[in-house]
Amino acid sequence: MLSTLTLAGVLALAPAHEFALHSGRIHLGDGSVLEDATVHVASGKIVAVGTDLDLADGIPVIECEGELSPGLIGLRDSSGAGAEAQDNTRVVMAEAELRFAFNPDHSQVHRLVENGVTSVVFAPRSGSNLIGGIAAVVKPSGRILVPRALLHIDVSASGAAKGRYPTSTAGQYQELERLFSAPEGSIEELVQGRMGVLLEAETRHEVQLALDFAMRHHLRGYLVHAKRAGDLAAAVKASGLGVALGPFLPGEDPRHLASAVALAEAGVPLGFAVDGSRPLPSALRWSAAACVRAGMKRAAALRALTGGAAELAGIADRVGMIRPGLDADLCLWSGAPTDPSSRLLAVYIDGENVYQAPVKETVEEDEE
Amino acid sequence: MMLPLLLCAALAAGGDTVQDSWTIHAERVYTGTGEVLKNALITVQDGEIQSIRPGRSATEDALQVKAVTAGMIDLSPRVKMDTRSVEQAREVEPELSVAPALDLFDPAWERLAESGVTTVLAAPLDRNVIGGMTVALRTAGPTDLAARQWSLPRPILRGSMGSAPSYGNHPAFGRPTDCFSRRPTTRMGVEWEWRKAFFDAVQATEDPSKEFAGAEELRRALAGEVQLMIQAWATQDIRTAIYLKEEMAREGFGNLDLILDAAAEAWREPEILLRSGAAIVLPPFSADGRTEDNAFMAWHRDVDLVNQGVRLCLSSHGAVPAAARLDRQAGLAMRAGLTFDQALAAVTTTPAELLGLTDEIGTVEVGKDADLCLWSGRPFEATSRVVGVLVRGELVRDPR
Repeated sequence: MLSTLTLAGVLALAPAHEFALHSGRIHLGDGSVLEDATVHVASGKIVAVGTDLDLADGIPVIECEGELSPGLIGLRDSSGAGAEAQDNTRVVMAEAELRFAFNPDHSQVHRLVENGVTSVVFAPRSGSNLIGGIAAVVKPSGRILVPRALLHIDVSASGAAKGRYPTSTAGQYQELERLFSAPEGSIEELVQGRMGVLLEAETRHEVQLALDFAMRHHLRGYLVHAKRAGDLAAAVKASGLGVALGPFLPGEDPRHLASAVALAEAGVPLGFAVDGSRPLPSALRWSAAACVRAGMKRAAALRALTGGAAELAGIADRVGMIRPGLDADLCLWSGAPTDPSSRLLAVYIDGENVYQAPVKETVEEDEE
Repeated sequence: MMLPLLLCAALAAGGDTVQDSWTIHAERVYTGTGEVLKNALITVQDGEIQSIRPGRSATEDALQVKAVTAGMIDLSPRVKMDTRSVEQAREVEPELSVAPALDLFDPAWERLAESGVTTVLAAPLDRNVIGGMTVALRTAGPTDLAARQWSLPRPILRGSMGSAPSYGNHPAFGRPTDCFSRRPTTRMGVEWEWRKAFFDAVQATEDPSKEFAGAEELRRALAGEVQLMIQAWATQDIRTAIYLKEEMAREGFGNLDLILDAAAEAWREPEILLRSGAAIVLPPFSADGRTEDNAFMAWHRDVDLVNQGVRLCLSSHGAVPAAARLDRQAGLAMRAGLTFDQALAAVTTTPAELLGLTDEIGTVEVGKDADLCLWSGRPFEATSRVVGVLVRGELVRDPR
């Protein structure tokens, strides 16, 4: 209680453009931790981070009672877009740009911030599109980081159209190969490596075919919805693709969690998705915690929430870590970020304090 | 029960600890060549049958069973053929293969293998006139189609007569709303699509501007390089298939090599079957003789075709109940009048011949692939069951 009061009090006084946060524990986003360290923020960017920073006089240092981490990154989200995130009029929507469906004023987007999510891959929903459109990387503050980031290709059952071509697995790949044989627009950017792929495949069989396809066309990016991809961990690793895990909910099939752990152990780049059938930003940390419970290393889970996800989304030079030069997207937690009982205390996006937890009485521990 | 499960798990994971040499002792080995070997010791090594020695007693390490036959072959198992197995946007899709739709992670394959079926022909769902190319594959092994798929000397193209292809289609009154606003909506339309497909394929040889995807496969069928498997339950549909073949020959287009699947009413007109040289695959026997498309399957008359020289295979046709599995079908065929050897042939050597794989599978002989079915008693008897199965020398069901 005291810490939040202190924080809020200082913020009200300090000029927002330059300040420093001091915390007992800072998670840098690559799995490593600094104890008793300070982050120096100026003009929305991280200037420095370290245990022994030489700060100029007059820079306010905010004492944080809790643990700092980079803002979380969701690898697939459509918060606030609803039906706008999926256009059924044609099976292939290779030039539909999801940024036009992004509404930062929507309450679901506010929910992202309230759960510590500071960047998302704003992507098409699965529907009956073989190619759903071009995902953008956005911040819930409204800033569009990358307008044309990843192309969504759906080779799962949901991507097979009903009542029009292609209705079958063979037809899906026939159509994809036709499009890729004379690539143009976003598909050309994809095959030239200027854009990543967000490859939706659900069953292991679908993953198998999707990996073959991705390797055939030298695609980079990641799989979504592939809840049993861990059974094919070696093949996923060999493809160079990453996997967006989850969202996992309480009661998740243990095979899905075992799959996530197997992928982590195989060294597959990982992140977490916000959006399953609907946006669930609160599931992001639940998912990471479930993976830790199933055997994933805590540092790996946190990396997948932050720096690892940034790499998969192609924005590692902008966000995802607490490192000089990157955007000051930060979260302050009451405990370890991957511990679901930790509470989010504050969120900064581009150095701006966009969220402050309501002041609550500390929960008294039960006496023995 | 635990051990086969573990073995299957190891196989699925491509584990390298799977035992690859086995010795089997059987009181009877029904080789499929007409020979029955007593008290035979079979050794299996590197996926092949290495030796068969009759008149031996069991060695200590041998798997001991009452009987051994070749692994069974089902040309119409319909494993997990969902709507994604066939491209329904167009009625004629000879250029597409069912291969991408084959989900080898599906536990149905394991169940099939454990029931003694070691090779199957997988076909697209019959929602099209011409659904596409089939795939022959083993029921067990790595979850990698390339490792399990047979390369057939004469591949098999799948299509359908009867009511199945027009299912879901409707005439377009006004603007078409989806791809199902189209022909055929009747048997007449189905027949027209068949003839048009072959006619167009032949036309395209004279006028290359008329070439279309799949024309090559159709021409290969006319040339006899590709076999044509047509689902036809009822007499009228069996006739239509055979008349199609005869029309193509009459017009000088070529000679279709037919396999009629689910030919429940083949018995009604044996003379046209014999005239056409078509092979047939029977659907499972039903208690009252009723099948699909209003076709009536007279057990004894159907199997009687074998004595008249028709090549006949039995199938489970995707039936789920244990009573419809292939080993039971062979037993029922014997009850309907087939001899043991004829019943064995209908689930082993005859389908192997149609696949063109007689050098590899279908019989128990030295040098053949070790696809073996191990029985608790005389095969196909109601009181016998499959207790062990080897697929390419790997024990997928353990009799111990």
